[in-house]
Amino acid sequence: MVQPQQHSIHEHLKEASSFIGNYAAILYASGATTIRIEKNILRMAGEWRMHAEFSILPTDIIISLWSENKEHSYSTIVRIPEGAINYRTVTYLSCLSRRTAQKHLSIDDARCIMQRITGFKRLDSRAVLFLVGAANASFCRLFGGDPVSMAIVFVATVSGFFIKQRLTEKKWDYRMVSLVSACLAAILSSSGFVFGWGETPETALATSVLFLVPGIPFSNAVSDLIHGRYICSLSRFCQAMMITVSLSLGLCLAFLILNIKFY
Amino acid sequence: MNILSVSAANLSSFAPAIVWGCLAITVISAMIYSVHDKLKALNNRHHYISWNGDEVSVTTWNNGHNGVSPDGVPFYDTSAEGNDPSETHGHNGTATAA
Repeated sequence: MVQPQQHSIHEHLKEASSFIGNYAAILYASGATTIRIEKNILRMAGEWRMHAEFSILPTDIIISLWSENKEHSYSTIVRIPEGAINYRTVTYLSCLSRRTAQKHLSIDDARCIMQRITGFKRLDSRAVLFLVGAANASFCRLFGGDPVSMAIVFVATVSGFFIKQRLTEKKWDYRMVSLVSACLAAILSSSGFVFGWGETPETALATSVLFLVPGIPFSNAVSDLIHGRYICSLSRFCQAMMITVSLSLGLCLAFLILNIKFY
Repeated sequence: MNILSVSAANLSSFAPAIVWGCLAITVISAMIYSVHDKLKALNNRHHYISWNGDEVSVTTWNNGHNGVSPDGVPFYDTSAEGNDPSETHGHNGTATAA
């Protein structure tokens, strides 16, 4: 027969396991490194007097929580949701982990805070569009592009990124999204060659697709590799490579359409 | 410094049309998106068109005491009354849609 105290321990483990599983899955989907997720999980489990044993996989989080005396345990598998990278979520969820340890927050309090964090609205898509365009135009300047080329890159980037946002909303495959966006941005940025605008059309063409380079997956893959999390590292590296290959194909397609030759 | 070695000497004769065409497609799709957004906001205010395509249902187990709401938020029956723990052990693996 199950004792009431055991029941209470079981419920406590179940709540914590569900919360920590969801917490880890959201962190992974938002672009946190595996070592960051592990540290946060262990910090919170320690605060709630539990032992956590877990595996972080590219598609799932498998977590077992044990009571302090290791007599009871509860295991959960949480699927990692499809989600866009959001460093604000990563920062705030990491703060939540530290605050849980410092202020001795309960599971319910932590869950409420996590719901608020995940409910935050993202930056307005039009503002993101402008900022990405300005960032890519700055890249053009860094590589020696003149103001005309910068303006071309700005327009090409805004157009390519706009199409990327809309196609992602329509649930297109991310490889096709990268290919189409890169092709469009490259065609528009080749206007320097086509109409003879500016002194550095090749710089405009080369920098117009930089907004698609998957920097965060690449850096997370390196971080996971350094810390020995090879499965996650390989998964992130493969995804980043798929995006890179797609954007390269988009660029080559634009060259093919406009009959621009490599030499 | 040349960061990309390409030759545009044999550019396609359709190149200007292709560039203008791509720009036009982007501008038109931006306008359609903007109008669609405004129409959606208007419909949300006045409910000219309404539909119910919501297929997400509450998933529960343990006789409906515990579950996951349509928003994906888990809920638990915190009161111990009528909540047989042995049943919790037994039914965790067989969640049923309500």
